[in-house]
Amino acid sequence: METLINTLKGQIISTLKLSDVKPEDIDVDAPLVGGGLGLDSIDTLELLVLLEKEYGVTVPDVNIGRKVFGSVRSLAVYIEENRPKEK
Amino acid sequence: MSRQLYLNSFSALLPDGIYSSLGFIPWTDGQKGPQDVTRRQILDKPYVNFGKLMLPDKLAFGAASLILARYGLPDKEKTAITLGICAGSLSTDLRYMETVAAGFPGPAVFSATLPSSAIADIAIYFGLKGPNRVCAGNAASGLTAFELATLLLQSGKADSALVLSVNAVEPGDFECPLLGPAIARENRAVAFLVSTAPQNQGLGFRLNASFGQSDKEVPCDSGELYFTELTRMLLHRKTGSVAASSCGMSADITITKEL
Repeated sequence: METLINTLKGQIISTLKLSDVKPEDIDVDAPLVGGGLGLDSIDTLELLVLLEKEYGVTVPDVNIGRKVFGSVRSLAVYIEENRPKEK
Repeated sequence: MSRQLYLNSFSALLPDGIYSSLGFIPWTDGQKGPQDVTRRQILDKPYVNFGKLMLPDKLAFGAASLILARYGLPDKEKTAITLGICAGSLSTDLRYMETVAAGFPGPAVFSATLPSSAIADIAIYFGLKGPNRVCAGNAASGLTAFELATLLLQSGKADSALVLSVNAVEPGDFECPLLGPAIARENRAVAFLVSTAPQNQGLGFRLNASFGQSDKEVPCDSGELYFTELTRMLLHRKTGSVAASSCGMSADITITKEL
């Protein structure tokens, strides 16, 4: 899980092109949207694309999305639980 | 009754470097031009969204920041923004189409596929709530933006106006059939702060500008080049005039230093 969390931090920074943000600046339990990173709804859409493209994971509705994007940790947990199993 | 206008500040990101009231700074060795401007060169504070800005927005924001971040605005409610941008959002449109072709349309890129997105970035960051206008297309966009600013100031709808003229084109864009031959091949952004009163710490040049039609056959983008000439006059604090003629439009812009 910790490896995935660290990977996600890097992907969030590169996907969203966050200036002046380093992986260690991201609090894994802090809200992703409306928190210190200054992410907005468009950024959430970018993260949805990232989930599908990199992990083959989709978010079916808004209520689940709110939980998934609650923090980097909740995002990692959702990926772990929903990514296609390797054969 | 016409109001006297003042040109209080300026900035420019040009092929040779950064111009502002504070002087001229050439690009560093690793920078090829305005497209490579960094956040630290235009803003003292971190700005998490800077890296997300698409080329036209980045150039406009950069030029605007050099004025607004280092120079207080008198009244954010009465400060207008006018933007002239020759190629519109073409550069961003093409980047968006690349994401479509790759199978995952980029939401953030899509949201910037409007020429006015640069105005939104500036207005949100600096809290400007005055009117705004954007003029996109070949037809002397920068000169039109300047004229629109003077109209907003003369009509009392704003007390200050940030005038922006931006040319934003990436190398691959030249192959796009929508791009007219008159578009300059160099990226640049020029900004002026025009107000109805001289401001503390401002340059305080009296500004007289008149606009009309021109029958001279001059390429469209040369109108934007006159702003470069004006920028260099301001850098050296010189009084003088610029007679611009571009794509069916003419303008006489005179700046006079107040004693």
